[in-house]
Amino acid sequence: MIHENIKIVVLAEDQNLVLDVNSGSIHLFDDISTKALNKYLQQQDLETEEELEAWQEIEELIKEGSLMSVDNGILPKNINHNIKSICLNVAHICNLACPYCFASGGNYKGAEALMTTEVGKKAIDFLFDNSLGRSIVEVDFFGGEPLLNFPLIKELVAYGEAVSKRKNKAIKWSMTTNGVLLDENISKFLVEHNIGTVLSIDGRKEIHDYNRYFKNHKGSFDVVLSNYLEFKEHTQDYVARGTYTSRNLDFYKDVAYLKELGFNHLSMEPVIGEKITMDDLPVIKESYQKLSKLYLKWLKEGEPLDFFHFNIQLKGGPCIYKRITACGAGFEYLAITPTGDIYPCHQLIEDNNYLMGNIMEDTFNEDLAEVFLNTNIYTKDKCKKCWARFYCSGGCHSNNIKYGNGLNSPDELSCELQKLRLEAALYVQGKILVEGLTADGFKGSDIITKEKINDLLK
Amino acid sequence: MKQKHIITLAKPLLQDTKETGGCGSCQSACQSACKTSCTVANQLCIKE
Ligand code: SF4
Ligand code: SF4
Repeated sequence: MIHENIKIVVLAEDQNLVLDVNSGSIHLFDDISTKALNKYLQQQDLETEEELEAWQEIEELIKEGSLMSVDNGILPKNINHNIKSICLNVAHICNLACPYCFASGGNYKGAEALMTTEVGKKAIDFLFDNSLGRSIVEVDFFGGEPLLNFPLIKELVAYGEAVSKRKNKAIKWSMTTNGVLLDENISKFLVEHNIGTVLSIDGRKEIHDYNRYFKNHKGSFDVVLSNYLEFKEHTQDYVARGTYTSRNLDFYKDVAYLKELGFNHLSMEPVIGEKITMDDLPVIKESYQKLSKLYLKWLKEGEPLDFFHFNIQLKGGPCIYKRITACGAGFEYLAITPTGDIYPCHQLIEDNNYLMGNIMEDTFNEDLAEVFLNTNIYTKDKCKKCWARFYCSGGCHSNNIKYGNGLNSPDELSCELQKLRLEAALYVQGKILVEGLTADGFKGSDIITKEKINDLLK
Repeated sequence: MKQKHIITLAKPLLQDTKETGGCGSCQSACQSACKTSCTVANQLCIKE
């Protein structure tokens, strides 16, 4: 049954993982205790001796606060809401012509443009000047294709590193690229400067080339694959990002294929609004199930995969504040266009209703920031009743605006996909805990990122 | 009490982090596909 404070995931016969949503506690229930719990949740009477015995154990957990625990629904106070992270759209132009691009081919339905040094430096100053109380800030190079403005990236990294030293505040860099221009020289720079990189590669060649092609319609697979294979020889700080649309609902095959090619850090993303419909959910669910089985098999065989979305933390993970407010778009996180326009998020750049100001004009709409600050799982009725709330954090603001019914009404399809993914992740992590599986010495992107941040903070 | 039907695997005490958390040092979590949709659950707390 579906309950807002309890999630049950079947791990095996007589082994059920029970997540207590509000405390994050994880229990392993046998079938009898699961039955007793379900009866309690459905307000039915317990019948057998065994059920009553199990009920006593359940009551113990309730008493100690690790089952049916409560959340007062109040956002923690004294939290720093200052800006922490910017997305620098250094190029509103692209060398590919992917039809599914949310940025309409890289220019966000506006003029093609490259960011200038002046705008880029001012944006970095803005970040450092307004991130009071923070010990680390983040800059993400994005586009279009950011490498079309590589000279600027080089310049800004040098600039940011200098400001970081002067202000005694760490800076963490990242970038998303389509890989076309990722040559030896650029790769070396990215590795040297610790720039965590998201490599776009959809999956099998025919899947990739169907959507990711050059302006002359030639697929980009061969070009980017060879660049990526070379790049990943020099770093573990990357994630190869696959994509699924209605063409590859069997995306577990794409993950397996990319793994076979040697990519150890992978993720697989649905393109929301791209022909995937609610009718596809059963097939997608099956794909996640197949992927979880493969994931565990690889782990047991000593060939582990870091699959980004299975890295959920059962024993700890982020604090509740982070889980309530998520990405922080509009206050902690801002996107900046080549002309210096400020938006709450890179995904909202085409929407003038969300223009927040301009870096060069020193304008910033605090009221709009406030709207985003006051949008979180406690303000969304649907999320308040959803078991996934502390893992999902209320969905993506931009998806909710574009495909749902506004900031406080999450998009139905995104919710269903999110829950399928989380269920698979709970299954995988539950199995790992119960069977005591480990991947000796192998680090997932969660650990790599944490170590990197700790290093930067030293 | 000896538990026969239930084993507790993890007790992260999430609610307590209302007091202890919020340092803001962990990576920003963006759910956008082009940035690998890092949901908050995919992260580690820097302090732990
Ligand atoms: S956005 Fe959807 S899946 Fe996420 S917490 Fe809200 S209701 Fe649940
Ligand atoms: S609104 Fe969505 S795309 Fe934008 S920063 Fe938040 S999670 Fe990411």
